[in-house]
Amino acid sequence: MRLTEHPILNFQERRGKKVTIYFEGQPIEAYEGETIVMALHAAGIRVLAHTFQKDRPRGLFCAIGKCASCLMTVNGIPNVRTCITLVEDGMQITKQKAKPKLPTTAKPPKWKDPEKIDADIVIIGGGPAGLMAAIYASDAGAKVALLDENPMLGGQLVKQTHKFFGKREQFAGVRGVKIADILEEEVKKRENIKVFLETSAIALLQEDDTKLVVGVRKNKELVEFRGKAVIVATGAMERMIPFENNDLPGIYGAGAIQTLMNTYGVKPGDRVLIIGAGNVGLILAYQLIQAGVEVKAIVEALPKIGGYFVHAAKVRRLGVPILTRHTILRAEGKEKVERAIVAQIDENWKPIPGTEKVFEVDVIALAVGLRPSIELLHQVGCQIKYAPELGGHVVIRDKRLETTIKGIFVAGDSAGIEEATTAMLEGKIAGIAAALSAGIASPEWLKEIEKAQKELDEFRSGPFGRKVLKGLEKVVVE
Amino acid sequence: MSEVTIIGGGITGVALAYELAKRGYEVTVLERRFIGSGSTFRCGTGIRQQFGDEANIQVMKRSVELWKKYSEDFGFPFTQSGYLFLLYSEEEIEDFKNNIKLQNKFGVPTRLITPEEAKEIVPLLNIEDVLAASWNPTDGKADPFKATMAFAREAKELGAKIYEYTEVKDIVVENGEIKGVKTNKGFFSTGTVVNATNAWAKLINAMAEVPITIPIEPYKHQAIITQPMKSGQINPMVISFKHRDAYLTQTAHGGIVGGVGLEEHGYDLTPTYEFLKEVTKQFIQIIPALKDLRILRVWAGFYAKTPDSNPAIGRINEIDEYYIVAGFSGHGFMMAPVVAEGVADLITKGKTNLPFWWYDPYRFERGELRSKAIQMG
Amino acid sequence: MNYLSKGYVTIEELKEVLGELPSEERLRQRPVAIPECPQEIPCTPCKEICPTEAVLMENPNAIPLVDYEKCVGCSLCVQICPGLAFFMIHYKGDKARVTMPHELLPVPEIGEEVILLNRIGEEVGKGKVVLVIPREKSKGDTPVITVEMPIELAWDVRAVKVVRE
Repeated sequence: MRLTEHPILNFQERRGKKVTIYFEGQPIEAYEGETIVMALHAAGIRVLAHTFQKDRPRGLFCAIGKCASCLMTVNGIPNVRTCITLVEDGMQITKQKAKPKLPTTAKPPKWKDPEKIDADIVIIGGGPAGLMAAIYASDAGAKVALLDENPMLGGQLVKQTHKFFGKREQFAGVRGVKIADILEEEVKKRENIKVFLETSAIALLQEDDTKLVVGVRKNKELVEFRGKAVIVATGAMERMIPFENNDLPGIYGAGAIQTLMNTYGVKPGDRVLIIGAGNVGLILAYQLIQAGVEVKAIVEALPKIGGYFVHAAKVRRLGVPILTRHTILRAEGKEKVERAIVAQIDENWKPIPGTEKVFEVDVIALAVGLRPSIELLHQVGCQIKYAPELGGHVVIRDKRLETTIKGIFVAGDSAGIEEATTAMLEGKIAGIAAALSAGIASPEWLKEIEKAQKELDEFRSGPFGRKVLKGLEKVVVE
Repeated sequence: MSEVTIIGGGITGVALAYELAKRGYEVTVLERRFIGSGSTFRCGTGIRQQFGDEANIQVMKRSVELWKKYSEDFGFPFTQSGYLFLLYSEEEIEDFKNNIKLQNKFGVPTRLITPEEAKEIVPLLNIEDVLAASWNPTDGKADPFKATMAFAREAKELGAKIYEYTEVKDIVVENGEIKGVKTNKGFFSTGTVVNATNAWAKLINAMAEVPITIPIEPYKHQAIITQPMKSGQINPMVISFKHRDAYLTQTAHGGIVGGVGLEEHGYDLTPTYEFLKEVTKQFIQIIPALKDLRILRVWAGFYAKTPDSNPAIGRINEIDEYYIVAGFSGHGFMMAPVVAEGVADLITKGKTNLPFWWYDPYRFERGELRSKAIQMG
Repeated sequence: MNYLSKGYVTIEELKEVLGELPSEERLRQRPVAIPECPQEIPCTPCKEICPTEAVLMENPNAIPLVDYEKCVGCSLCVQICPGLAFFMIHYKGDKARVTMPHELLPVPEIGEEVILLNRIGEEVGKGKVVLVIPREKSKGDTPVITVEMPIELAWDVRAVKVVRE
């Protein structure tokens, strides 16, 4: 079902031209500018595939191209990530039930030499960190190429309807979705930034002093990006937790639900149970209520709410219970979620028999944390270290976010899970530092780096910053 | 005290350990990292008898027999799904006709087939410029992970000792007699050393001060695997010399594995974009349907090459007892079972019925290079 | 304090956080801002927007306190607060007027009767909307409503439910 009214967002304005796509031969209404899986959900189609070995139904999970849950065959091409592929009129979409067969009729294609893009700085990822990096690198004099595999800029900002915290000069009091618009506008204003959307970075390589980012545009065109420096701002991916039937369609990562309802205006379901009372889970609950979806409860295994108290208070006063010291035991349902079984846990994290509660829900949202997307950094050979405070494996870097490979920088959640506000500050630092390392920026820019570093220190100085600081101690080197 | 110490825990080393243990020998394998980590786990999985000289054909025929036996005995995947060489010119056809004659002489049932017949075997083939194909259904492929681990397991079962993360630092030779091996984990006293380190063979030879020249050099070769597709679509190993010595096949899991012949001398293993582009370019000409597939991984391993692409296998007479079993030039995996059997016979009986004279390590010193073994990838 | 295990503050906890609540006299003078923000988080817009420097905060992570005498009751803090944690209370006769953010649909109209919700979403009575600052006029992109209610509910009600046939 599509949302028509929303207290914050206007979808009517955003939707493009009506087109028709075909799911298993049946026509489905879609709008230009939306991804395949969004149109399918709007039409009530939640089962996207069946697993190869056990024939279990598969639904959407991450919705930002980071997992394999939404792979379908599109126009005969198998394993297409339907969450980041835009609809086109007449598209034929089919479910995969077994490993796909290769088409026997394919003609040998003509080899086309890849397009070559030369820049001073190549930035991978157009979220808050990447956008800020692009803006500041550009202002410091660098020619920037910015690529993102999603069809729009803004990263996860585009689905944040809540107002940001921090200081007002860091966009505090402004909604994430609005920040995305502002940053995109700033990027567009700058002629020395070239943006490449729907372009995946598949490899990061070194050619002597030059860095090469191998890109694939729209699943088929090879594009070579070369620069003196590269900034990796590839964000994070949602974590999963083990429980019975945790793969049923209708169990989404929290971010996927935000993408459905806040980016594309598609109602994720009618009754939701949220697992995890960190900021993501709490914010999600409020956003669901704003979209007219009932939130049955938020379940949290810790004895305390992990997110900001104010986010919790917002949903408590609207009647959403937060069950601390509880866990999900299992999901039930045939082809999709029909109910969730929750129980209280004891000091040893074991479920207490007899405390089971049943929630009749059609959606279970997992807001159980994120892990940094470090694949490209790992592949190119940056040194990696495990820092659970930052969400898992992250790269070793210095205070200007340069990794152990000269000229390769990192910023935002891919450097360690934190906030969009800190991602923007890190983006700023990395952008300027990369321009300095490429020999473009003048030394005065050092002051801007110092300013951003001070702001970061200030932001992290409270109790919520303690954990992050502990993690940074392990991975930041002189 | 170990009777025989094998340096190198690739499939050659562990299969040899198995054969020696079976013959009642006390064997120790020293592996610098973990079993298979050098080149075995990076290999292209193919096993073929289609060579152009009598020795390699006979040796590989025996190897296939052993692959069949051990895969059944130990329970690892080996399939005789064939090797299909695509031929694009009259000269190629002439060469292959001669090879086929030789192969047939030793009972390898290779035959020349038409492009249409080739397409029946692999319906996804682009046969546009193919003139003929050389097809042997008894060639095959095996799972390098499961096969190597199986040999290691069986060897240990028979009492062989396998030390992983044990790096050889020096070989102690006194008056031409081996006393032992120094490693980062201590001293291993032994009377016999087998150098089964393939790409690293020259380093070990230097430690033992082998007095003859055995030119074995490491060359980086890269390979890819794609996302898994329905298995059984490309059963044989498909080879095309026209497409930069390309080889490709489908694994049991469904991924398309293969490579092309771009090589680089030295010990670096960084995958290159040049290879990635080249392999894509060539593969989609051979099998156009691959154009819509994603490559999941690209990696590199070493071919330990000799000037004639034949290995150096044999006893070094000046050192009591030192054997070289290396320089497989891209054929180490497929040859492992037969090499293990033959070398075990050499060590325990001083001879083998297999034509291992062809691999004589002294041939380089004497300037008697063999005809170049057929190599691809 | 265990507001973090429950997800709401009790009035006793709030008193402890704020030091003291505004006097009845002050509450009758003019509206006064009440921050329900008991946790140190890196956030400062309330302090930055306040025209009279009535919001006290030592550092960006400090808990906001309000100097009730300096507060003029302008509601800018209610409009800007990203956590929707600022409210205003004003006593008028036997009624109280509570000003609160309202980011849900529908936004009630002036004169409309609404259901009053306490900090855990329980319906505790009915009130009448007396003022609406729509989103486009709000300085913080958040609609703000003022609801008149029985005076004894002023320290309980923190949200409303709009029910339309």
